[in-house]
Amino acid sequence: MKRVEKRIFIILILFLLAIMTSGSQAQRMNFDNCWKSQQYITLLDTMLRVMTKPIEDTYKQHDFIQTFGCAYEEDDIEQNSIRAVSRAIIQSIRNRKLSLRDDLDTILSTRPPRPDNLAREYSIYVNIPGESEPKAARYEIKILDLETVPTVESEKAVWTRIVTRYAYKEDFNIAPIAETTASEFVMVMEESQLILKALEKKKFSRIKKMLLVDNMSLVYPKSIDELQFGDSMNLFDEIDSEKIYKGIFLGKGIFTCETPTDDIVICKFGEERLFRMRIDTNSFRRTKTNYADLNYQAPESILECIFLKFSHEKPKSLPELGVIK
Amino acid sequence: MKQRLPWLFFTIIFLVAHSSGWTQNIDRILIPQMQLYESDIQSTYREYQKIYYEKKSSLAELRAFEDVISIYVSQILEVYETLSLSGFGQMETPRDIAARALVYRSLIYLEKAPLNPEYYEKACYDYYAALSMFDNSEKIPAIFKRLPDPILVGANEFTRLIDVIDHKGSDLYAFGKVELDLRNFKITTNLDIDDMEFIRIECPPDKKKYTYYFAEERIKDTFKKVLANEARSSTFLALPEGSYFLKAKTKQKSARYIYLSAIYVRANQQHKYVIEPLVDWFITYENPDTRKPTFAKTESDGSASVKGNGNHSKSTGKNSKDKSMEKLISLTQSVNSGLDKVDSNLIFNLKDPWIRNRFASAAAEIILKHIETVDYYNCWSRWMLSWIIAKEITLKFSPETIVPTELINLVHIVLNEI
Repeated sequence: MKRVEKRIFIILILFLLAIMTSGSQAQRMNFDNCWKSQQYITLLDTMLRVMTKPIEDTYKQHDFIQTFGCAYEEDDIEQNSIRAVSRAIIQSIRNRKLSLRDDLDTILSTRPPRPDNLAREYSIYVNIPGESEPKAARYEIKILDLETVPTVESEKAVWTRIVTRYAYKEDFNIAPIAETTASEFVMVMEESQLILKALEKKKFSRIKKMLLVDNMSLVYPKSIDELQFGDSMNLFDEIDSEKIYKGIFLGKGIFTCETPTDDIVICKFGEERLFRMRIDTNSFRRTKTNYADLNYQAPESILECIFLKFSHEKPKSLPELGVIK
Repeated sequence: MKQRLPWLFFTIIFLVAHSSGWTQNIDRILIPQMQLYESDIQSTYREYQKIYYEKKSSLAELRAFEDVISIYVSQILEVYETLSLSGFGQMETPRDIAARALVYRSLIYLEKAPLNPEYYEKACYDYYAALSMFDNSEKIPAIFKRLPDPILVGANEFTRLIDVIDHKGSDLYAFGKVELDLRNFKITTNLDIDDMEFIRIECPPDKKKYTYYFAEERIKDTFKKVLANEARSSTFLALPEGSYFLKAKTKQKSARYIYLSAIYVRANQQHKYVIEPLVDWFITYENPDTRKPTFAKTESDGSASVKGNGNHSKSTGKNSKDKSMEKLISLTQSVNSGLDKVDSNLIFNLKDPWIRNRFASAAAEIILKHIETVDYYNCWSRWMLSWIIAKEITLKFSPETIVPTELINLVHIVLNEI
């Protein structure tokens, strides 16, 4: 009898453990460190590991160059694959100082690269810069690796390794010498990870320094739809509009800013009013363009985690302002 | 079938008008029809007040009157829609009639609301629908315009709806309008819409009597639309002042996730919210549209934008006085140029240049006072702020008269310039 009871007890424990571990991503959220997960590593760590892989000699001898790409933004493996391959191709085009002649997105979406199908080779047309006019050249793309890897950022993240070359030797001979940057996107990911980690510790001045917020503005986004990760803005006091506070946009309507009480908060648009502040939509500024150039978006799971981590510290309702009747 | 009859009737009229080449005469048939319905609504409203206050009729009788008015309103709205779809150019008159019809119904609901608080909410939806007809228009909204026929409310006669609302509609100001714009959802987005619950978490004690019954259904319908076709979908809600959030009844998530869907509403304000997917839930956030007045911005731009936390230009007392004077001069100029754009004879007696100048500087002073307070950012819309400022100017200049519509227009022009 005792043995049966013991068995039931063990089954019960196992059942409870199963329930505890089987929640959604939000349940697995680690509010102590948003980048740390018991199950997965970050996509950046994955990329830093795979990017050590050297190009095969056969390809090297035939003037191929190797680049890498990754994506985590979409909730769909195919869409992430398209983004990852596109990023790797664009990196190759940047390395060779070329420009695209074809619409890359259309080519990739008509015959999407997927980890489980055979679309592995593409051919596109590019422009080789010339003294007077650019010259059209055929460009070969081979996908060597394309893998789905569950990471902290997304369970459907994808990374890829591709090799590319000119289809004709004569184009190779007149083209500029290629650089060997493996992936600028990964470099941007690395920098943004540092920024988001600093944000978790509310190190606002460090973030401002990294994002060059006090530098000259290069772009002036006109609305929140045009904002990209790292863009800055001014918030002003609702009562005394001469008092100005800095804010930095992170993505998906989430931003961080200073408050009248010298605190640093992570808000979604509209929550600044909880602290008696308003956003001056004329003040959107971009001082660093690499995030926009590479279409970087902070991972949603990290944004969600950072936002929720401090959300309970905020007031639950708008302050009384003597609203007009 | 009964419900579809009026729609069929107007469609036939529209088709006949089109096929016979009567398009240019469509207004001669439909607009008088709208005017007729409007006059019926006005008299029904009067009757409704009579039976409500004098005869103390039963709820069933009141309900019958509400139904009659609703039929008139829907007829007017159908004609308005027909005219909009037909590409009829002069939409100002039909739009004004449609907006007025909605405000009348809203006023009727307000009469009954003390018996049934749900009617405050119902009244708000009509009132907001009427105001939203003028959202993308520079034309003065119908509520500020003179009515075709004066309206009797109790013992008072009113010539504009805004005066009636000021007299009877203070409950409308307890609510805020929340526009929801759902975007970037896909048909594959995994959300159980029917399992959603819209909850109020905070509310000032004096606003607790107001309901928000209709919000949840409207949100669910909009979600269903956006998930069905992957396009953007929008709606608006009338919510009493407070804090709200959308919650999944059975979702196994951390309790904190509700903060993602929080909506904060301030009374008598318009909030534009965006809803976007985020991981396996969604986030609601406001689409800010606040801009500091241009002249205020230029002076604080350099020092404030760079220094950061709580910095502001540390000007001496004399300097700030000068700046304030500069603003006042610039506003007075705007008022003067605005007076040339409106029919200034309809404001007050401003024929004498000295009186006109005095008026311009006094109006500028009042406008400046409002711009430098929180009212400027928190008011419902530029038109509502224009109304509040115009009321104050009238009180100063000619306290016995009603606020001239041209004055509201003038203030709106000045506010648009800064």
